[in-house]
Amino acid sequence: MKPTVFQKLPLSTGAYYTALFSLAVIAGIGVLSAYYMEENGHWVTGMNNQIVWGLPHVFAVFLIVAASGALNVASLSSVFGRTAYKPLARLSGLVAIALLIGGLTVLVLDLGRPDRLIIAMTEYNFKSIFAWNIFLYTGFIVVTAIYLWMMMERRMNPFISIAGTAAFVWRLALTTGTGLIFGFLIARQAYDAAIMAPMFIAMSFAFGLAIFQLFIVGIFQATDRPLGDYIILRMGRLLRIFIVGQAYFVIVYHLANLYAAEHSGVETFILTSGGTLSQVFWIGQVIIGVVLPLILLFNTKTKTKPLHVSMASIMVIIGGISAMYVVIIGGQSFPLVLFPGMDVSSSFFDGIINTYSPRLPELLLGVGGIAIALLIILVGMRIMDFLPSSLADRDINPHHKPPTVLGPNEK
Amino acid sequence: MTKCKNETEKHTNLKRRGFLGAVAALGAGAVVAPGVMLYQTGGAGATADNKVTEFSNGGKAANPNTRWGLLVDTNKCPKDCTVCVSACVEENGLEGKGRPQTDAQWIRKIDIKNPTTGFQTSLPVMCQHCDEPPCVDVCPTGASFKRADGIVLVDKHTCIGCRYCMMACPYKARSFVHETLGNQKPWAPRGKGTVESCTFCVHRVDVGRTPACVEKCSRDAGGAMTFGDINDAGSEISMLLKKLGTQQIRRDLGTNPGVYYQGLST
Amino acid sequence: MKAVFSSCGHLIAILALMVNLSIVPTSVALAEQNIPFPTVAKGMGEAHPEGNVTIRKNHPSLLSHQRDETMRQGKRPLKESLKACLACHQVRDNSGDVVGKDDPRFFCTACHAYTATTIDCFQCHNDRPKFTKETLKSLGLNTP
Repeated sequence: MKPTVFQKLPLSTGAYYTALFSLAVIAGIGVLSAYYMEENGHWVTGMNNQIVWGLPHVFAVFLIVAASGALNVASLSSVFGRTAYKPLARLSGLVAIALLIGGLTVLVLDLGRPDRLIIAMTEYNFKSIFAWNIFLYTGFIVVTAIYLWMMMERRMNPFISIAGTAAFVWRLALTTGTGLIFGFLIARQAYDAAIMAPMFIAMSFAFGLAIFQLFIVGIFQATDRPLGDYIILRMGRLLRIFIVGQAYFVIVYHLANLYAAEHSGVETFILTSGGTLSQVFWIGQVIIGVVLPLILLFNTKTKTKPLHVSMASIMVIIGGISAMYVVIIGGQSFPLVLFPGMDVSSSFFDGIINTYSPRLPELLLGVGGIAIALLIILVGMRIMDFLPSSLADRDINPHHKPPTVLGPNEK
Repeated sequence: MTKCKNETEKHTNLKRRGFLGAVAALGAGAVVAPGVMLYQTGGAGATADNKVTEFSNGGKAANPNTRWGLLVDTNKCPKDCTVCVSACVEENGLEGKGRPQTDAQWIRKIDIKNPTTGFQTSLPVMCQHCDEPPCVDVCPTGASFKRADGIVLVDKHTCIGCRYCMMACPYKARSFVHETLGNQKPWAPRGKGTVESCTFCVHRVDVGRTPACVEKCSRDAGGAMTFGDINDAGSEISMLLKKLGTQQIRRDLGTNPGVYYQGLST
Repeated sequence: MKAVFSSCGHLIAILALMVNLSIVPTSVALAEQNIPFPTVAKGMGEAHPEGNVTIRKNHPSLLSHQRDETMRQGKRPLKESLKACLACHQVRDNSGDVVGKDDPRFFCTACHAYTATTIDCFQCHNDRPKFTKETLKSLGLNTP
C-alpha cells in the first residue's frame, strides 16, 4: 500500500465558484430569515408559548449530534487502529467541525436576543447543562482543530493517537451533554430520562457515519477520483451496527415509558394518537430510519452494492431528522401534567395536545445552517490538503488481492 | 528539483500558517473588542436615602430571612371569576396582541375536572416561586434567578431568549415575548426576545404592598388569596398554613413551591 | 527566510489586536481636542455631586452596577433609579409633552445617536414615566 497523497479540491475555478456562490446564497437566505425573525419577534414563526423550540432546534440538534458522529471515522483510525480509514481521517475532522458550526449558527440565530452572545460567553450558571455545552461545543472545535493539526503537520504525527483519543472522549462528553439537555428536564413526560444520553450517543454514531459516507461518495464522484467498493461496503457494515445500536436505545426508551403508567400517556400520544407526530415517528424514524436501511444492509442480495449503502445513508439521515422532530416537538406537544389524572383546561392551553405548524423562516434558517456547514467543508478542502487522491481498493484495502488476469483498465 | 519544490512548499505553508494566525487573531479581536470597549472600571455604591415613595424603598435589600408565599383558597374561587387575571394584565401591562398562542400570560385560571367522578373545581396558577426552581437550574447565563426573599425572577438584561427555562418549568409559568413592545408600565419593564413570568409584583412587594391579584381579589372578588412571609410564624399566611391542610402543585417533583392551595381535593 | 515570514504573521496579529483595543473615545479627550459636541438638553434639579464629566465617563458601569443591585438584591434607592434619571433629564417638545426615545432631543438619544452606539434600555423600560407630586418633590423638582 502506498502512503496516501492528500490534495486540495481540484474543481475547476468555475465549478468551485458556482458551488461557493450557491451555498453562500442559501446560507445568506438563512441569515436573512434569522434577521427577519429577530426584527419582528418570534410571532412570525410557528413557535409559541406552547411549542417553544421548533424546526431550527430540530435541525441544530441533528447537525450537532451528527457532527460528533462524523468524527468517528477519524477515531476509528487513530484510536481503534483501523488503518483502512486513515486516508479519511482528515476529512472526518473537517466535516465534524463544519457540521457543528452549522448547527451552532442555527441555534444562536434563533435566540430571542442573539445580540447578547457575548453575555452567553461570559456569564455562566454552571448548574445548567446549556452552560456546559457552550464549553463542550466550542472546545470540540478547538480539540478537533488540534487533532487535524497533528494529522496534517508531519512533525506532529507521533501525537495523532493522543489527540485522537482526546477528541473521541470529548465528543462523547459533548453528545452526552446534548442528550442531557432533555434528560435533565423533570417537567416533561417525554424527557426526564437518563437513557436519553446514551440514546443520543448511539444516534450520533449512525447519523454521523451516514452523512460522512454520502459526502465521500459525492465528493469522489464530483472530482472523478477512484473510489473502490471496499471502503464503502466496510462503512455499510459499520452503519448497520450503528443503526441496530440506536434502535436498541429507542426501543428500550419507549418500552420503559410504555410500561410505567405515569408515562403511558405520552407514549400513547407519540405511538398512536399524535397525528402528524405519530406518522413522523413510524414512517420517518422507524421504517425509513431503521427498518429499510437494515434490510438493505443485511440482505445478502443487496448488501454487496455500494449504491445500496448510499441509499441506506440517505434513509438514516431522514430517520435522524424525524427522530429529532419526535424528541423535540413531540416532547412539547404533550401537555405538562400539573394535576395527574385530571382533565384540565385554561386560557393558556393547559391540558391539550399542542400542535406545531412550522413557517417558512424557520425552515430557511435550518437549511441555511446546512449550507453553512457545506460552505466550510468546501472552502476547507480548497485551501488545505484534505482530499485523499485515491480510495481505490488496491490503495487502501490491506487485504487486497490483485486480480490474476489484468483487465483492460488495470495497470 | 524536488529539494527546491519542498522548500517552496514549506515556505508557502509557513506563510499560510502565519496568515491563518493573523486572521484568527483579527477574528478573536473583533469578537472580544466590543465587550472590551464597553467595559469600564469604577462605579459608585448606591446611597441609601430613606425616602420610600411609590417605587423606591430607600435602598433596602431583600431580606434573606423572608420567604414570600401565597395561599389560595379554592373554595372561594368561582369557576368564571378571572379578577386576578385581569388585575395582573392591568398592573403589568400584559395586554395581548390578539394572538393567544404567543401572548404572555403570567397567571391563568385552570379548570379541573375529574374524569372518573365528574368533580370540578377551578384555581389560579402562576409562577410558583419554587424553593428549588428548575428554571433557575437550567438558565445558561444565570438570568433566571431566585432572590434572597424567595421571589423567582428573570433578569432581562442578561436573558438571551433561549427559552430553556420554558422547557424546564413544570408549571408552564413562563412566557416569551414574541414581538416588539411599547408603552410598558414603568414598574414592569418587559421587552421582545426575553422570557418573563409572574414576579409576585415585586415592585409592589418591595415598597410594602401586596401583589395586584391578591389586592383585587380581596377588594372585588372572593378574597381567596393571602400573601405574606411564610418564614414569619406570626404572619397571617403562616398561621393559616399551620391550621389548614394545604397542597402544592406537583409536590412530588421536589420543587417546594411558594404557592399553596387550600381546599384542593379532586 | 522562514523566520521572517512566520514572524510577519505574528506582527500582523499583534497590530490587529492593538488597533481593536485602542478605539476607546472619551468625552474628556473630545472636549480637550475641541471636537464638536452634540446638543444635549440641560437637566433639571441639582447637578450630580460627582461632576458631569465623571458621570458621563462612568455612566455605563454606574447604571449596570445599580441595575444589578436593584434586580438581584431588591435595593431601590430613589435617586439612583432609572426613573429618577428620567425625571431630571426629561425633555419637552413645543407642545409641552415629554419626548420619547425616538426623538433626537431625548436625553440619552442626543449623545447615543451622535456616537452611533445603540442602547437597548428602552426596548424594555418605559422612556416617559409619570410621577406623582410627592416623588417629584422628593427628587427636588417642581415640574408639572
